Amino acid sequence: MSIFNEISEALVKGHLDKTLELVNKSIEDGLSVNEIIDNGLAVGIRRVGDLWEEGEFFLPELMQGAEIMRAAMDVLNPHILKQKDDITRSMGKVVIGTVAGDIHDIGKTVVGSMLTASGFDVVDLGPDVPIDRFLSVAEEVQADMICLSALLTTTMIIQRDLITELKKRDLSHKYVVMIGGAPVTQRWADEIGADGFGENAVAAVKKATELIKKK
Amino acid sequence: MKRDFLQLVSERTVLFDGAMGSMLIDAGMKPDECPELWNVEKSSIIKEIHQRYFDAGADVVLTNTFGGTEIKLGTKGLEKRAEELNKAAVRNALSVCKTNRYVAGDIGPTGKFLPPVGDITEGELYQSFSRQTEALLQEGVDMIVIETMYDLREALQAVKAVRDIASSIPLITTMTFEKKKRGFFTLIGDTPEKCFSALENFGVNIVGANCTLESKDMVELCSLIRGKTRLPLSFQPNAGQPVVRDARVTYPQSPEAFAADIDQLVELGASIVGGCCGTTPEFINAAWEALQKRI
Repeated sequence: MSIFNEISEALVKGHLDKTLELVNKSIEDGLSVNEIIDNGLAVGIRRVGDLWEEGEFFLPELMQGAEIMRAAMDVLNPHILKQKDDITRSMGKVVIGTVAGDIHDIGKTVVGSMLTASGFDVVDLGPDVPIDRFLSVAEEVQADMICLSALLTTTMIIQRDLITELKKRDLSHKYVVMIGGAPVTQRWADEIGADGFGENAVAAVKKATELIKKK
Repeated sequence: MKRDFLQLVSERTVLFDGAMGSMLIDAGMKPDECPELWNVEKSSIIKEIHQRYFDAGADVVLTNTFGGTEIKLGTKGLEKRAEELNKAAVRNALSVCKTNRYVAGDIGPTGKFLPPVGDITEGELYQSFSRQTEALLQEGVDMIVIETMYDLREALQAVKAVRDIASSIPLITTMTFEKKKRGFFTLIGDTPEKCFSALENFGVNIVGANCTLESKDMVELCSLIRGKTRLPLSFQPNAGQPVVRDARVTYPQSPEAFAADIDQLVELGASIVGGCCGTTPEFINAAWEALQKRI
Protein backbone atom coordinates (compact mmCIF):
# COMPACT_ATOMS: atom_id res chain seq x y z
CA MET A 1 0.00 0.00 0.00
CA SER A 2 1.37 3.39 -0.89
CA ILE A 3 2.02 5.78 1.94
CA PHE A 4 -0.78 7.98 0.61
CA ASN A 5 -3.25 5.12 1.05
CA GLU A 6 -1.93 4.60 4.56
CA ILE A 7 -2.46 8.28 5.33
CA SER A 8 -6.04 8.29 4.07
CA GLU A 9 -6.82 5.06 5.93
CA ALA A 10 -5.40 6.35 9.19
CA LEU A 11 -7.46 9.50 8.84
CA VAL A 12 -10.66 7.58 8.13
CA LYS A 13 -10.00 5.32 11.11
CA GLY A 14 -9.58 8.39 13.32
CA HIS A 15 -5.96 7.73 14.23
CA LEU A 16 -4.46 11.16 14.82
CA ASP A 17 -0.94 10.15 15.86
CA LYS A 18 -0.59 7.59 13.08
CA THR A 19 -1.72 10.07 10.45
CA LEU A 20 0.74 12.73 11.61
CA GLU A 21 3.52 10.15 11.80
CA LEU A 22 2.87 9.16 8.19
CA VAL A 23 2.66 12.78 7.04
CA ASN A 24 6.00 13.55 8.69
CA LYS A 25 7.54 10.47 7.13
CA SER A 26 6.27 11.53 3.69
CA ILE A 27 7.92 14.92 4.10
CA GLU A 28 11.16 13.31 5.22
CA ASP A 29 11.02 11.02 2.19
CA GLY A 30 10.87 14.09 0.00
CA LEU A 31 7.31 13.63 -1.26
CA SER A 32 5.58 16.77 -2.46
CA VAL A 33 3.20 18.62 -0.18
CA ASN A 34 0.62 18.75 -2.95
CA GLU A 35 0.63 14.99 -3.34
CA ILE A 36 0.43 14.38 0.39
CA ILE A 37 -2.69 16.53 0.44
CA ASP A 38 -4.22 15.44 -2.90
CA ASN A 39 -3.62 11.72 -2.69
CA GLY A 40 -3.51 11.20 1.06
CA LEU A 41 -5.39 13.62 3.28
CA ALA A 42 -8.01 14.84 0.80
CA VAL A 43 -8.84 11.25 -0.21
CA GLY A 44 -9.29 10.42 3.47
CA ILE A 45 -11.52 13.34 4.36
CA ARG A 46 -13.62 12.74 1.24
CA ARG A 47 -14.10 9.12 2.33
CA VAL A 48 -15.19 10.37 5.78
CA GLY A 49 -17.74 12.57 4.01
CA ASP A 50 -18.96 9.62 1.92
CA LEU A 51 -19.36 7.44 5.00
CA TRP A 52 -21.34 10.25 6.65
CA GLU A 53 -23.64 10.41 3.64
CA GLU A 54 -24.10 6.66 3.69
CA GLY A 55 -25.12 6.85 7.33
CA GLU A 56 -22.13 4.87 8.56
CA PHE A 57 -20.35 7.83 10.15
CA PHE A 58 -21.96 10.37 12.42
CA LEU A 59 -20.99 13.76 13.78
CA PRO A 60 -18.35 12.47 16.21
CA GLU A 61 -16.52 10.64 13.40
CA LEU A 62 -16.80 13.69 11.17
CA MET A 63 -15.30 15.92 13.85
CA GLN A 64 -12.51 13.44 14.51
CA GLY A 65 -11.66 13.43 10.79
CA ALA A 66 -11.76 17.23 10.77
CA GLU A 67 -9.41 17.44 13.76
CA ILE A 68 -6.91 15.14 12.10
CA MET A 69 -7.10 17.13 8.88
CA ARG A 70 -6.48 20.36 10.77
CA ALA A 71 -3.55 18.89 12.68
CA ALA A 72 -2.03 17.49 9.49
CA MET A 73 -2.37 20.85 7.72
CA ASP A 74 -0.62 22.50 10.68
CA VAL A 75 2.29 20.11 10.16
CA LEU A 76 2.34 20.83 6.43
CA ASN A 77 1.97 24.61 6.57
CA PRO A 78 5.63 25.51 7.11
CA HIS A 79 6.48 23.31 4.13
CA ILE A 80 3.74 24.91 2.05
CA LEU A 81 5.13 28.35 2.81
CA LYS A 82 8.64 27.22 1.97
CA GLN A 83 7.41 25.77 -1.30
CA LYS A 84 5.72 29.06 -2.08
CA ASP A 85 8.91 30.98 -1.37
CA ASP A 86 10.59 28.94 -4.04
CA ILE A 87 8.16 30.35 -6.56
CA THR A 88 9.58 33.74 -7.45
CA ARG A 89 6.43 35.43 -8.71
CA SER A 90 3.15 35.61 -6.87
CA MET A 91 0.27 34.13 -8.82
CA GLY A 92 -2.09 36.69 -7.33
CA LYS A 93 -3.78 37.71 -4.12
CA VAL A 94 -6.75 35.76 -2.81
CA VAL A 95 -9.20 36.43 0.01
CA ILE A 96 -10.98 33.24 1.06
CA GLY A 97 -13.57 32.47 3.73
CA THR A 98 -16.76 30.67 4.64
CA VAL A 99 -19.84 32.88 4.44
CA ALA A 100 -21.66 34.36 7.43
CA GLY A 101 -23.79 31.95 9.41
CA ASP A 102 -21.74 28.95 8.30
CA ILE A 103 -19.03 27.45 10.48
CA HIS A 104 -17.85 24.73 8.09
CA ASP A 105 -14.29 25.43 7.11
CA ILE A 106 -12.18 22.34 6.50
CA GLY A 107 -12.61 22.28 2.76
CA LYS A 108 -12.08 26.01 2.55
CA THR A 109 -8.88 25.74 4.58
CA VAL A 110 -7.57 23.02 2.30
CA VAL A 111 -8.32 25.13 -0.77
CA GLY A 112 -6.55 28.07 0.86
CA SER A 113 -3.49 25.98 1.64
CA MET A 114 -3.35 24.49 -1.81
CA LEU A 115 -3.63 27.92 -3.41
CA THR A 116 -0.72 29.03 -1.22
CA ALA A 117 1.23 25.98 -2.26
CA SER A 118 0.58 26.91 -5.88
CA GLY A 119 2.02 30.39 -5.48
CA PHE A 120 -0.97 32.53 -4.52
CA ASP A 121 -0.90 34.99 -1.60
CA VAL A 122 -3.84 33.87 0.46
CA VAL A 123 -5.68 35.71 3.23
CA ASP A 124 -7.94 33.16 4.97
CA LEU A 125 -10.69 34.91 6.90
CA GLY A 126 -11.94 31.69 8.49
CA PRO A 127 -15.60 30.73 8.97
CA ASP A 128 -18.71 32.88 9.43
CA VAL A 129 -17.54 35.93 7.44
CA PRO A 130 -20.02 38.71 6.62
CA ILE A 131 -20.03 40.23 3.12
CA ASP A 132 -18.71 43.56 4.38
CA ARG A 133 -15.64 41.88 5.81
CA PHE A 134 -14.88 40.00 2.58
CA LEU A 135 -15.07 43.27 0.66
CA SER A 136 -13.17 45.46 3.11
CA VAL A 137 -10.28 43.01 3.40
CA ALA A 138 -10.23 42.48 -0.37
CA GLU A 139 -9.93 46.25 -0.78
CA GLU A 140 -7.31 46.52 1.96
CA VAL A 141 -5.00 43.84 0.53
CA GLN A 142 -5.79 44.72 -3.08
CA ALA A 143 -6.98 41.20 -3.78
CA ASP A 144 -7.35 39.75 -7.27
CA MET A 145 -9.78 37.04 -6.27
CA ILE A 146 -12.46 36.41 -3.65
CA CYS A 147 -13.27 32.79 -2.84
CA LEU A 148 -16.48 31.95 -1.00
CA SER A 149 -17.29 28.66 0.67
CA ALA A 150 -20.76 27.63 1.86
CA LEU A 151 -21.91 24.24 3.07
CA LEU A 152 -25.60 24.85 3.69
CA THR A 153 -28.39 25.50 1.19
CA THR A 154 -29.40 28.39 3.43
CA THR A 155 -25.97 30.03 3.46
CA MET A 156 -25.30 29.48 -0.25
CA ILE A 157 -27.57 32.47 -0.85
CA ILE A 158 -24.86 34.75 0.55
CA GLN A 159 -22.60 33.85 -2.34
CA ARG A 160 -25.19 35.43 -4.63
CA ASP A 161 -25.61 38.37 -2.27
CA LEU A 162 -21.89 39.18 -2.38
CA ILE A 163 -21.88 39.21 -6.17
CA THR A 164 -24.93 41.48 -6.12
CA GLU A 165 -23.14 43.77 -3.65
CA LEU A 166 -20.10 43.97 -5.91
CA LYS A 167 -22.38 45.02 -8.78
CA LYS A 168 -24.04 47.60 -6.54
CA ARG A 169 -20.67 49.08 -5.57
CA ASP A 170 -19.53 48.91 -9.19
CA LEU A 171 -16.68 46.58 -8.26
CA SER A 172 -17.56 43.55 -10.42
CA HIS A 173 -14.61 44.15 -12.72
CA LYS A 174 -12.17 44.37 -9.82
CA TYR A 175 -12.31 40.85 -8.42
CA VAL A 176 -12.57 37.33 -9.78
CA VAL A 177 -15.19 35.51 -7.70
CA MET A 178 -14.97 31.77 -7.12
CA ILE A 179 -17.36 29.69 -5.08
CA GLY A 180 -17.34 26.24 -3.56
CA GLY A 181 -18.88 23.96 -0.94
CA ALA A 182 -20.85 20.72 -0.94
CA PRO A 183 -24.24 22.03 -2.18
CA VAL A 184 -22.60 24.33 -4.75
CA THR A 185 -22.84 23.32 -8.41
CA GLN A 186 -21.77 24.75 -11.74
CA ARG A 187 -25.43 25.55 -12.34
CA TRP A 188 -25.58 27.64 -9.16
CA ALA A 189 -22.33 29.35 -10.14
CA ASP A 190 -23.79 30.20 -13.57
CA GLU A 191 -27.06 31.33 -12.04
CA ILE A 192 -25.44 33.82 -9.70
CA GLY A 193 -22.75 34.97 -12.10
CA ALA A 194 -19.71 33.61 -10.27
CA ASP A 195 -16.56 33.56 -12.41
CA GLY A 196 -15.66 30.08 -11.35
CA PHE A 197 -16.56 27.08 -9.21
CA GLY A 198 -14.37 24.35 -7.76
CA GLU A 199 -15.90 20.96 -7.00
CA ASN A 200 -12.93 20.05 -4.85
CA ALA A 201 -9.64 21.62 -3.80
CA VAL A 202 -7.72 20.34 -6.82
CA ALA A 203 -10.34 21.58 -9.27
CA ALA A 204 -10.48 24.89 -7.41
CA VAL A 205 -6.76 25.50 -7.80
CA LYS A 206 -6.87 24.59 -11.49
CA LYS A 207 -9.75 26.97 -12.12
CA ALA A 208 -8.18 29.74 -10.03
CA THR A 209 -4.96 29.47 -12.00
CA GLU A 210 -6.86 29.62 -15.28
CA LEU A 211 -9.01 32.60 -14.22
CA ILE A 212 -6.16 34.66 -12.76
CA LYS A 213 -4.27 34.43 -16.03
CA LYS A 214 -7.22 35.90 -17.86
CA LYS A 215 -7.66 38.82 -15.47
CA MET B 1 -60.41 19.52 38.46
CA LYS B 2 -58.73 18.31 35.31
CA ARG B 3 -57.65 14.75 34.73
CA ASP B 4 -54.21 13.59 35.71
CA PHE B 5 -52.28 13.84 32.46
CA LEU B 6 -50.79 10.35 32.46
CA GLN B 7 -54.24 9.00 33.22
CA LEU B 8 -55.59 10.86 30.19
CA VAL B 9 -52.84 9.45 27.95
CA SER B 10 -53.82 5.93 28.99
CA GLU B 11 -57.45 6.61 28.04
CA ARG B 12 -57.25 8.32 24.67
CA THR B 13 -54.95 9.82 22.03
CA VAL B 14 -53.68 13.20 23.16
CA LEU B 15 -53.10 16.06 20.72
CA PHE B 16 -50.13 18.39 21.19
CA ASP B 17 -49.83 21.74 19.46
CA GLY B 18 -47.90 22.59 16.29
CA ALA B 19 -44.84 24.70 15.59
CA MET B 20 -43.99 27.87 17.45
CA GLY B 21 -40.76 28.85 15.68
CA SER B 22 -42.12 28.92 12.15
CA MET B 23 -45.24 30.73 13.40
CA LEU B 24 -43.02 33.42 14.94
CA ILE B 25 -41.11 33.80 11.67
CA ASP B 26 -44.44 34.23 9.89
CA ALA B 27 -45.30 36.88 12.50
CA GLY B 28 -42.19 38.80 11.52
CA MET B 29 -39.44 37.45 13.74
CA LYS B 30 -35.96 37.97 12.19
CA PRO B 31 -33.14 35.36 12.15
CA ASP B 32 -31.05 37.21 14.74
CA GLU B 33 -33.91 37.69 17.21
CA CYS B 34 -34.48 35.65 20.37
CA PRO B 35 -37.86 33.84 20.34
CA GLU B 36 -38.01 33.66 24.14
CA LEU B 37 -37.72 37.44 24.37
CA TRP B 38 -41.09 37.70 22.63
CA ASN B 39 -42.65 36.23 25.79
CA VAL B 40 -42.04 39.64 27.33
CA GLU B 41 -41.83 42.04 24.40
CA LYS B 42 -44.58 40.62 22.19
CA SER B 43 -46.55 38.57 24.68
CA SER B 44 -49.85 39.19 22.89
CA ILE B 45 -48.55 37.41 19.78
CA ILE B 46 -47.39 34.44 21.87
CA LYS B 47 -50.75 34.26 23.66
CA GLU B 48 -52.56 34.43 20.34
CA ILE B 49 -50.55 31.52 18.92
CA HIS B 50 -51.29 29.39 22.01
CA GLN B 51 -54.97 30.41 21.79
CA ARG B 52 -55.17 29.42 18.15
CA TYR B 53 -53.72 25.99 18.87
CA PHE B 54 -56.20 25.44 21.70
CA ASP B 55 -59.02 26.56 19.39
CA ALA B 56 -57.79 24.11 16.75
CA GLY B 57 -58.23 21.28 19.24
CA ALA B 58 -54.86 20.85 20.92
CA ASP B 59 -55.05 19.33 24.40
CA VAL B 60 -51.60 20.64 25.27
CA VAL B 61 -49.57 23.69 24.30
CA LEU B 62 -45.81 23.88 24.80
CA THR B 63 -44.35 27.04 26.33
CA ASN B 64 -42.26 29.29 24.11
CA THR B 65 -39.08 28.25 25.92
CA PHE B 66 -37.41 25.92 23.42
CA GLY B 67 -34.14 27.88 23.60
CA GLY B 68 -34.69 28.88 27.22
CA THR B 69 -31.59 27.46 28.89
CA GLU B 70 -29.00 29.99 30.04
CA ILE B 71 -26.50 28.39 27.68
CA LYS B 72 -28.69 29.00 24.64
CA LEU B 73 -29.89 32.43 25.77
CA GLY B 74 -26.25 33.30 26.37
CA THR B 75 -25.64 33.27 22.61
CA LYS B 76 -27.89 36.35 22.46
CA GLY B 77 -26.52 37.88 25.67
CA LEU B 78 -29.75 37.13 27.54
CA GLU B 79 -28.60 34.50 30.05
CA LYS B 80 -29.33 36.78 33.00
CA ARG B 81 -32.97 36.99 31.96
CA ALA B 82 -33.48 33.24 31.74
CA GLU B 83 -35.72 32.98 34.79
CA GLU B 84 -37.80 35.99 33.76
CA LEU B 85 -38.33 34.79 30.19
CA ASN B 86 -39.19 31.21 31.14
CA LYS B 87 -41.70 32.39 33.74
CA ALA B 88 -43.26 34.89 31.36
CA ALA B 89 -43.65 32.08 28.83
CA VAL B 90 -45.54 29.92 31.30
CA ARG B 91 -47.80 32.82 32.31
CA ASN B 92 -48.60 33.51 28.65
CA ALA B 93 -49.70 29.92 28.08
CA LEU B 94 -51.62 29.67 31.36
CA SER B 95 -53.49 32.88 30.65
CA VAL B 96 -55.18 31.33 27.58
CA CYS B 97 -55.35 27.74 28.79
CA LYS B 98 -58.89 26.40 28.47
CA THR B 99 -60.60 24.18 31.02
CA ASN B 100 -59.32 20.63 30.94
CA ARG B 101 -56.37 21.58 28.73
CA TYR B 102 -52.72 21.50 29.67
CA VAL B 103 -49.55 23.57 29.56
CA ALA B 104 -46.22 21.79 29.03
CA GLY B 105 -42.91 23.36 29.96
CA ASP B 106 -40.74 23.02 26.85
CA ILE B 107 -37.04 22.25 27.10
CA GLY B 108 -34.93 22.11 23.94
CA PRO B 109 -31.22 21.50 23.34
CA THR B 110 -28.61 24.04 24.48
CA GLY B 111 -26.98 24.14 21.04
CA LYS B 112 -23.58 23.39 22.53
CA PHE B 113 -22.05 20.00 21.89
CA LEU B 114 -20.36 17.51 24.20
CA PRO B 115 -16.93 16.18 23.15
CA PRO B 116 -15.68 15.21 20.64
CA VAL B 117 -17.89 17.60 18.67
CA GLY B 118 -17.70 20.49 21.16
CA ASP B 119 -16.44 21.17 24.66
CA ILE B 120 -19.45 21.70 26.92
CA THR B 121 -19.53 19.38 29.95
CA GLU B 122 -22.38 17.22 31.24
CA GLY B 123 -22.23 19.17 34.49
CA GLU B 124 -22.77 22.48 32.68
CA LEU B 125 -25.69 20.99 30.76
CA TYR B 126 -27.26 19.64 33.97
CA GLN B 127 -26.97 23.03 35.68
CA SER B 128 -28.56 24.85 32.77
CA PHE B 129 -31.47 22.42 32.46
CA SER B 130 -31.93 22.46 36.22
CA ARG B 131 -32.35 26.21 36.38
CA GLN B 132 -34.76 26.23 33.47
CA THR B 133 -36.83 23.46 35.05
CA GLU B 134 -37.02 25.37 38.36
CA ALA B 135 -38.41 28.43 36.60
CA LEU B 136 -40.95 26.44 34.58
CA LEU B 137 -42.18 24.46 37.59
CA GLN B 138 -42.36 27.48 39.89
CA GLU B 139 -44.76 29.19 37.52
CA GLY B 140 -46.93 26.08 37.29
CA VAL B 141 -46.67 23.81 34.25
CA ASP B 142 -48.59 20.52 34.13
CA MET B 143 -45.75 18.53 32.61
CA ILE B 144 -42.29 18.87 31.11
CA VAL B 145 -41.48 18.11 27.47
CA ILE B 146 -37.82 17.66 26.58
CA GLU B 147 -37.66 17.74 22.81
CA THR B 148 -35.62 17.80 19.63
CA MET B 149 -32.67 16.19 21.39
CA TYR B 150 -29.97 14.92 19.04
CA ASP B 151 -27.52 13.69 21.67
CA LEU B 152 -28.78 11.07 24.13
CA ARG B 153 -26.20 12.24 26.68
CA GLU B 154 -27.60 15.76 26.63
CA ALA B 155 -31.17 14.45 26.83
CA LEU B 156 -30.24 12.41 29.91
CA GLN B 157 -28.81 15.48 31.65
CA ALA B 158 -32.13 17.24 31.07
CA VAL B 159 -34.05 14.21 32.32
CA LYS B 160 -31.89 13.97 35.45
CA ALA B 161 -32.30 17.68 36.10
CA VAL B 162 -36.10 17.38 35.94
CA ARG B 163 -36.33 14.21 37.99
CA ASP B 164 -33.98 15.54 40.69
CA ILE B 165 -36.34 18.47 41.18
CA ALA B 166 -39.71 16.78 40.54
CA SER B 167 -39.78 13.02 40.89
CA SER B 168 -43.32 12.55 39.65
CA ILE B 169 -44.22 15.33 37.22
CA PRO B 170 -45.25 13.85 33.86
CA LEU B 171 -42.12 13.81 31.72
CA ILE B 172 -42.14 13.39 27.95
CA THR B 173 -38.87 13.19 26.06
CA THR B 174 -38.66 13.13 22.28
CA MET B 175 -35.45 12.74 20.28
CA THR B 176 -34.83 13.92 16.77
CA PHE B 177 -33.72 11.25 14.30
CA GLU B 178 -32.45 11.40 10.74
CA LYS B 179 -33.41 8.78 8.20
CA LYS B 180 -30.24 7.15 6.93
CA LYS B 181 -29.75 4.17 4.63
CA ARG B 182 -29.21 1.89 7.58
CA GLY B 183 -32.11 3.22 9.61
CA PHE B 184 -32.95 6.07 11.97
CA PHE B 185 -30.18 7.73 13.98
CA THR B 186 -29.57 10.96 15.86
CA LEU B 187 -26.83 13.28 14.63
CA ILE B 188 -24.52 11.69 17.16
CA GLY B 189 -25.41 8.18 16.01
CA ASP B 190 -27.86 7.06 18.74
CA THR B 191 -30.55 4.58 17.71
CA PRO B 192 -34.19 4.90 18.84
CA GLU B 193 -33.89 1.67 20.83
CA LYS B 194 -30.82 2.83 22.71
CA CYS B 195 -32.45 6.17 23.45
CA PHE B 196 -35.81 4.91 24.65
CA SER B 197 -34.27 2.26 26.85
CA ALA B 198 -31.98 4.77 28.58
CA LEU B 199 -34.75 7.36 28.90
CA GLU B 200 -37.04 4.81 30.51
CA ASN B 201 -34.31 3.88 32.98
CA PHE B 202 -33.99 7.47 34.09
CA GLY B 203 -37.69 7.92 34.75
CA VAL B 204 -39.22 9.33 31.59
CA ASN B 205 -42.95 8.51 31.26
CA ILE B 206 -43.44 8.95 27.52
CA VAL B 207 -40.85 8.76 24.70
CA GLY B 208 -40.87 9.45 20.99
CA ALA B 209 -39.58 11.60 18.18
CA ASN B 210 -40.08 15.10 16.85
CA CYS B 211 -38.70 17.29 14.06
CA THR B 212 -36.26 16.49 11.19
CA LEU B 213 -38.64 13.87 9.78
CA GLU B 214 -41.73 14.48 7.70
CA SER B 215 -44.90 12.58 8.58
CA LYS B 216 -44.46 9.61 6.25
CA ASP B 217 -41.00 8.94 7.67
CA MET B 218 -42.35 9.36 11.18
CA VAL B 219 -44.90 6.64 10.35
CA GLU B 220 -42.04 4.38 9.24
CA LEU B 221 -40.13 5.13 12.43
CA CYS B 222 -43.20 4.40 14.52
CA SER B 223 -43.79 1.04 12.91
CA LEU B 224 -40.13 0.10 13.48
CA ILE B 225 -39.99 1.05 17.14
CA ARG B 226 -43.41 0.41 18.56
CA GLY B 227 -42.59 -3.04 19.79
CA LYS B 228 -39.31 -1.94 21.29
CA THR B 229 -40.54 0.04 24.31
CA ARG B 230 -43.30 -0.38 26.87
CA LEU B 231 -43.69 3.33 27.25
CA PRO B 232 -46.38 5.34 25.46
CA LEU B 233 -45.14 6.96 22.25
CA SER B 234 -45.27 10.61 21.11
CA PHE B 235 -44.64 11.93 17.58
CA GLN B 236 -44.46 15.45 16.15
CA PRO B 237 -43.46 15.43 12.46
CA ASN B 238 -42.54 18.45 10.34
CA ALA B 239 -44.86 19.65 7.58
CA GLY B 240 -42.71 18.04 4.90
CA GLN B 241 -39.05 18.77 4.18
CA PRO B 242 -38.19 22.48 4.07
CA VAL B 243 -37.59 24.11 0.71
CA VAL B 244 -35.29 27.13 0.44
CA ARG B 245 -36.16 29.65 -2.21
CA ASP B 246 -34.75 33.20 -2.24
CA ALA B 247 -33.59 32.89 1.36
CA ARG B 248 -37.14 31.96 2.43
CA VAL B 249 -37.92 28.58 3.90
CA THR B 250 -41.28 26.97 3.13
CA TYR B 251 -42.80 23.67 4.13
CA PRO B 252 -44.61 21.96 1.27
CA GLN B 253 -46.99 19.52 2.96
CA SER B 254 -50.74 20.11 3.11
CA PRO B 255 -52.73 19.83 6.37
CA GLU B 256 -54.77 17.01 4.81
CA ALA B 257 -51.73 14.91 3.94
CA PHE B 258 -50.28 15.58 7.37
CA ALA B 259 -53.53 14.53 9.05
CA ALA B 260 -53.66 11.29 7.06
CA ASP B 261 -50.24 10.34 8.43
CA ILE B 262 -51.25 11.41 11.93
CA ASP B 263 -54.13 8.95 11.60
CA GLN B 264 -51.62 6.29 10.58
CA LEU B 265 -49.47 7.02 13.62
CA VAL B 266 -52.45 6.58 15.91
CA GLU B 267 -53.40 3.41 14.06
CA LEU B 268 -49.90 2.11 14.80
CA GLY B 269 -50.31 2.90 18.48
CA ALA B 270 -49.04 6.42 19.07
CA SER B 271 -50.42 7.89 22.30
CA ILE B 272 -49.54 11.52 21.62
CA VAL B 273 -49.42 13.28 18.25
CA GLY B 274 -48.75 16.84 17.23
CA GLY B 275 -46.76 18.92 14.78
CA CYS B 276 -43.30 20.42 14.55
CA CYS B 277 -41.66 22.85 12.09
CA GLY B 278 -43.95 24.27 9.42
CA THR B 279 -47.17 23.12 11.06
CA THR B 280 -49.85 25.65 11.94
CA PRO B 281 -53.20 25.70 13.77
CA GLU B 282 -54.70 24.53 10.46
CA PHE B 283 -52.57 21.39 10.62
CA ILE B 284 -53.51 20.70 14.21
CA ASN B 285 -57.17 21.21 13.38
CA ALA B 286 -56.91 18.75 10.48
CA ALA B 287 -55.26 16.29 12.87
CA TRP B 288 -57.98 16.90 15.44
CA GLU B 289 -60.67 16.15 12.86
CA ALA B 290 -58.87 12.96 11.87
CA LEU B 291 -58.78 11.91 15.53
CA GLN B 292 -62.50 12.71 15.92
CA LYS B 293 -63.31 10.42 12.99
CA ARG B 294 -61.62 7.55 14.78
CA ILE B 295 -63.82 7.81 17.84
